[in-house]
Amino acid sequence: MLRLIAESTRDDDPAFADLLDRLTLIHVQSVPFESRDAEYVHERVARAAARFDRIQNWERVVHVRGKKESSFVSLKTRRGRVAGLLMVVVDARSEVFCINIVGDIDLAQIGRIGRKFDIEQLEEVRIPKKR
Amino acid sequence: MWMLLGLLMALALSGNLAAQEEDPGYVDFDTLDLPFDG
Repeated sequence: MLRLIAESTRDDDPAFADLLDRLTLIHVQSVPFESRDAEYVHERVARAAARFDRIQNWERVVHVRGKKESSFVSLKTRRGRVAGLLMVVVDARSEVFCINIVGDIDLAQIGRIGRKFDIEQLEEVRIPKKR
Repeated sequence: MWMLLGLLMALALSGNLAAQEEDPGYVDFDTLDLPFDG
C-alpha cells in the first residue's frame, strides 16, 4: 500500500515518494478510554515505555509524563540506522494512540509523514538530534 | 483467471504481513499491554 501511495505522489512530491519507498509499515491505532481510568492508563503507558527500554536496540528518546497527557517515543536501531519507531500518546481527550513506523526511517522527516497522513501526534513530535 | 489473481493477491498480502512481523522495527500493539479492550 505504501508503494502505491509513493508512486501516486511521485509526480507531485518526489522527495515524499522516496521517503515512503524506504518504509514498510505505518500502523496507527487509537483507543478511547473512560476519563476515570486515566491514572491507570498513564501507569500502563509508563510501564510499556520501561519495558521497551529493556529490549535490545530499542532506545527511548522522548518521555513526557503529565497529569492529563503522557507520551513516549522509542527507536529501534539496526546497523546505525533507525529501523523502527514506536510512539504511544495518552492525550487529554482520553484516547491512547499507538504509532509504529517500520523501515529505513529519516527522523527529520517524521513531521512530514504526520502532516501528509494527518497524524497530528507525529506532526508535534520533537526527537532530539543527539541520542 | 480471477481466482488465480485473487490467490496471488492473498499470497502477496500474507507474505507482506509476515515480512513486517519479522522486521526488527515492527511492534505488535497487543504486546504493549495497554487497555485496548477498554
